[in-house]
Amino acid sequence: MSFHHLDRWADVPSPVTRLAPTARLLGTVAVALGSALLPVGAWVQMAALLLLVLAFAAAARIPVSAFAARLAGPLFFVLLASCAVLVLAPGQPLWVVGPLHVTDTGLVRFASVVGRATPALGAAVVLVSTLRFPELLEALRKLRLPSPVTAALGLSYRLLYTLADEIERLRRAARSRNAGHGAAGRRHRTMGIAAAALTRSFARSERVHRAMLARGYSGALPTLRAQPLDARSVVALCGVGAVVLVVVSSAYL
Amino acid sequence: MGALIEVSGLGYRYPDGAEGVRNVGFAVRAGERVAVLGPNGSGKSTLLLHLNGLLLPTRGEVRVADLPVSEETAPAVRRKVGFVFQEPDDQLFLPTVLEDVAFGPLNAARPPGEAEERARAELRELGLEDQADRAAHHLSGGERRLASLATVLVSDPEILVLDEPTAALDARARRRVVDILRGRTETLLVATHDLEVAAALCPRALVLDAGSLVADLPTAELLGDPNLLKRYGLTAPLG
Repeated sequence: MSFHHLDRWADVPSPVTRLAPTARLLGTVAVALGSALLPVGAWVQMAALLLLVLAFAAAARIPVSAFAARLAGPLFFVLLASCAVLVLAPGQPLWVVGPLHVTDTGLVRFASVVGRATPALGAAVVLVSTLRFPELLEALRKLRLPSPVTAALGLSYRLLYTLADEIERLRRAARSRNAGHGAAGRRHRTMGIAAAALTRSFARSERVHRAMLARGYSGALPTLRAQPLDARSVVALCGVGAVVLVVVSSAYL
Repeated sequence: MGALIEVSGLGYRYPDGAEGVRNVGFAVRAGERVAVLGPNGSGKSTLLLHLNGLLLPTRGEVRVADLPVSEETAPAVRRKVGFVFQEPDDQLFLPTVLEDVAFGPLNAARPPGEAEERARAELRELGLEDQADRAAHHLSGGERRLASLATVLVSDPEILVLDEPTAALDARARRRVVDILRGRTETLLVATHDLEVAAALCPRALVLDAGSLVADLPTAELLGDPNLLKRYGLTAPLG
């Protein structure tokens, strides 16, 4: 199994890991919402939210390089998805790229998207790096996310590893028989493996459901973990909420 | 003493039309240990799934502790019958081993504190206490097998039904599973290809072939008679 643990810093004692998972989840949502509410060009406020997130990452003892590496993946997709705004927004042309013109308005909007996405994604990186997945699920349950959704998330998380192992086994079996020469062959092989993995997953889901029924499952996944929202967590959450509120308000004053 | 499990005229046809078992009948007394033997596709797993109400008969009847197994009685039957599946990855579906082991007691409406205590005690008994907070995919094959056993033993079932409990285990892990099962007092039904395991655990054997029960006899008699083994498509252990 080649997956890195998402929650690598969950066991590191830190002011962040001492907070209740529900508070951490709500804090992340607050930063994400605050970032989304910032107007175009609110650079100072974007930097302030990013600093807040970096402070939490440092408090959680996540190394800068690891934080940056984890942030880079999702940020790349944001960059990719928003680069069209560079040429679509009307404004003064700054550069010409073939038939396309990068405009000043487009550049500001693009930078604003990145500026808003960075603290939001950074907060999510801190959350998943310091919180075990079962705790995250429990926090979602406490926030009244419907039980079928949290159950599906929990099972997906567990079976993701089994599925990844299965795909790796199929790939090895295909490679051992020299399957798929050339680009077309590789494409064909990959599609075959994906189809086989999907079929096997379907059969596995039937078996897992039987195993759940055999142990008394009746539609709801009961849980062991009770996570009280202690005073320290409430104070920290209120603090984050207040900072986000001040930062966002200042952008509109 | 009356039978704890009674199967009479059991037939099951899968939705695709394939006949899983046909006209199977036998009874098992409380405390008895029975091996269910037969080649691949003989209907062993299909038969066992009926004992837990996971499949319901197309024909005939299955009774467990005097309860006829049906959709209505399935929850009560499942509290009496602990089922260990062939593939531990199917049985361990929650993010941590502890949660998986506590799943049964929690579903039986035990308070979370008690469920956790029982789960930890069961894991301790099987030597898995250090694995409680780990994810199942981080365990070795043998540990996974023991953890899946723990998920069932924790609920104190009257009957243990195991589908290939030693499949894909190395010699040491296989021995450990057999030793644990030998020390249990529950009524035991074990489907296996491993005749050594069958002989070590079960004095009685049911032999299935093509969905039919073709023999019900002492395991030692079966293993000691090459002609019987050959007739039922089984192979004596090496050496």
